[in-house]
Amino acid sequence: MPYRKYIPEKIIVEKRVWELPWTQEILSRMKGLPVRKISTIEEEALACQKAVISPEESLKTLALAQQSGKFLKPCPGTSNYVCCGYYFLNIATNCDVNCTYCILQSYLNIPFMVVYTNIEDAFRETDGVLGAHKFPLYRIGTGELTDSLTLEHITHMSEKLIPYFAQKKNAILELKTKTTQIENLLHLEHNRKIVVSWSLNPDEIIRTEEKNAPSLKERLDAARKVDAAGYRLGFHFDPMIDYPNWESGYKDVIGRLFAAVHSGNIAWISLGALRYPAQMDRLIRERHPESKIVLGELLPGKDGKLRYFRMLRQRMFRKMVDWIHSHDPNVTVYFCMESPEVWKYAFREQVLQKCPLPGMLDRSVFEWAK
Amino acid sequence: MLTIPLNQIIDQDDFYRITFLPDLRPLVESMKRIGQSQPILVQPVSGVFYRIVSGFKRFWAAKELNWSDIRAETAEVDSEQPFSLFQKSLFENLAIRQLNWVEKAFVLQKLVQQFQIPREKIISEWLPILNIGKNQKWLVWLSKIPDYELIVKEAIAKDEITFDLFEFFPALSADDRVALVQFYRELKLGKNRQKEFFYLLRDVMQRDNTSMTHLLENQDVQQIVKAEDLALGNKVQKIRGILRRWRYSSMNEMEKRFREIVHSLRLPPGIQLLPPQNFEGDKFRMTFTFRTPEDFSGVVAKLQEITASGDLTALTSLWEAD
Repeated sequence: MPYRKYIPEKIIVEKRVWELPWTQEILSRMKGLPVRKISTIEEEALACQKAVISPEESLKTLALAQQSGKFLKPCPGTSNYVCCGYYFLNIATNCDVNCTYCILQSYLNIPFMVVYTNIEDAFRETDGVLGAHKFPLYRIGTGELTDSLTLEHITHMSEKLIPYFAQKKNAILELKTKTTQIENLLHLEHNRKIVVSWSLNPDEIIRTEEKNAPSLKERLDAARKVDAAGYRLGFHFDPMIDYPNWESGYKDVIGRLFAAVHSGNIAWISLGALRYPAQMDRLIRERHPESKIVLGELLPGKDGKLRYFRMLRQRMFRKMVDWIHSHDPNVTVYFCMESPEVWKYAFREQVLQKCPLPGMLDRSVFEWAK
Repeated sequence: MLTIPLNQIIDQDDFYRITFLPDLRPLVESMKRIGQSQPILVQPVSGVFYRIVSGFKRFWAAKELNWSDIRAETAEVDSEQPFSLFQKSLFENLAIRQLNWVEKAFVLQKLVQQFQIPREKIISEWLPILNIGKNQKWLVWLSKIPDYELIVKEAIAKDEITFDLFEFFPALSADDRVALVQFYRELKLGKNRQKEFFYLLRDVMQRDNTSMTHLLENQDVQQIVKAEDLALGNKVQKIRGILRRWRYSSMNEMEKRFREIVHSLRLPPGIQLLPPQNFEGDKFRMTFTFRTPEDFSGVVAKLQEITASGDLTALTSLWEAD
C-alpha cells in the first residue's frame, strides 16, 4: 500500500492556544476542515472514552493544545538495562503509522493526534535546561511519542526546531521518522546539529507490521536526499523482528542502507529487539490479529517487559554488528535498552567498559567530544 | 387450569427454553412422591398443540415418570406478548436458581435474535441481570455458545471450562473446540492450567499454521495422556513440558544445556544451582541446606572441590551456546 500522508477529518483547538501564531499557521493550512474550539483535550478524551470511540477513529482528529507539563524530559530507560542518556522533546504525541508493535497503543491517555502549539514555551524550557549545563552535551529527540515528521506537511515543525537547534552549542536534535516528509528540511540551515533518523526494517516486516509506513526504498531515497543536504543521519533497527528469513532480510537492508548514503554521515545506528510491556500482548492480538510478532519467543526480562529470549537477541545483534562493520567499521552501533551481557556477546568485548554509552554517542555527533 | 396430555406438548419447541443440562433427579423423586405441586405454563399453538413457556423440567420429569398428562395453565398469546412470557419464564428461573453459562448464553441469544432487543440495552440492562459485567465483549462471546457442539456446551454448563477461555472459542474450529474439551476433561485440568495450556497451544498453532486437533493428536502427547502407570499430576507436568518445548524451543534448549552442566558437577542432594531467571543476566544462584556444622563443612568441601576442578567454567560458556 503506498504511503499516504496523514489528513485529519476534523480539528479541535483548545481555547487557550487559539490565538497562538503556530495554531493559526496550522489552521491556515487546513482550510475546509471542520474546526471546533474546546476547553481541554483531556475533557474531549474522556468524552471519547465514554462514547466508546475506537482508537482508529479518534486518530482522525487533530488536536492543537497547550503542553502544560514539561516539554523536555530525560528518557526513563528501563531498569537493569543500559540507557543512552537521551532527552525527549514532546511537541506532538500519537502516531498515524499504526505499527503493530507500537508502545503508544498502551501508553497514551489522549487518543487524538496532538500538537502542542505553545512552542515558544518549549524553547524557553530548553534554553533553561541547556543553559544549566547539568550535562556537557544533550542529545534530544522528538520521536518518542510520535513520528517526528509524520505531521510535517501540516505543522512545518522542522522550520521551527531546526533553526533553533542549529544555534545550540551543547545540543543535537534528532528527528526520528519512518516517513518521507523531508522536503521542508532540505533548504534549512542546520549547522550539522540535526540528526535525521529512519527506523528501518526489511520489506517483509514493513508489509505486515508497518502497513501505513513508506517502503524501505522510499525511506532510503529520503535518507539519500537528506544526506545530500549535509545532515547527519541515524538509523534505528528497532524493533528488530525475529522471523524465518530474518538473516537475509536484515542483511539486505544493511547492504541497501550503505549503498544509499555516505557512511561518514551516519551519526549512529541503533539496534533493539522487539520488546513490550506484558499487558500490551493482549492489545496487539486484539488490534492486529493478523500480526505474528506476538508468537515470537518472548519472555519476561529483568524489567518485566516481554523480550526475545536472550540467545536469540545475542545472535541477531552479533550478526548485525558484523554486517554493519563490514561496510564501515567506524560507524557507531549501539543497543537500545539492552543488558551489558548482550552488549559483550554481540561486540565480542565489553565496549561499555572502554566508554559508557552516553559518551560513545556524544563522541559520534559532537566534534569536540572526540 | 388444564390437564394436558404430554403428547400434545411440542417436545422440541425451544422458543422459550433456556434450561440446559438440568439435574432432574430431585424433581423426578419429588413428583413421584407428592405429585406435581405447580402447573406448567403453556401457550396454545396450531389447534390442539401447546408450546411450553415455563416448566420444561417438570415436563421432562413427567415424561421420565411415564405420566400421560400434566397440569398446566395457558397463556393467551393475544393478551400476552412473547417477550413478556419469556421474561416471566426467565425471572421464575432466576428467582430459584443460578443459571449456568450455557443457559445465560441461551438468554442472550434469544434477546438478540428472537426478541431483537437493541445491543446497548442488553449490555446495560440484561447483562447485570444475568450477573455478567456490562461489557459488549461478553455479549459477543456468550452469544456464540448455543451454536457450539454438545460436548463443548456440556463442559461449559458443568463449569469444567474456565470462562477466561470463552473469548477464544469462537475463533476455533468445531473440531478444535471438541478436541480441546476432551483433552481438558481427560487431564482434569484446573482453571489456571487450562489457560496456560491454551495459550501455549494457540501460539504454536498460529505460528506453525496448524490446528489444535493436530497438536493434541501428537504421538508424544497421546502416549502420556493414555499412560496407565502415570499419575494425573505427572501427566500434566510432562505435557506441560512438551508444550513449552514447542513454544519456547531456544529457551528449552538452554535449559537442557544448563541441566547437563549441573549434572556434570555432581552436586550432592542438598546443593541447588539455578540460572538467572529466563537466562537474563549473568548471575547464577546456589542454595544449600545443612543441619549440623559437619554437614556445612561437607558442603564447603564439595564446593571447594568443584572450584578446584575448573568444572564451573562450563557455566560461563553457556552464553556462547550458538
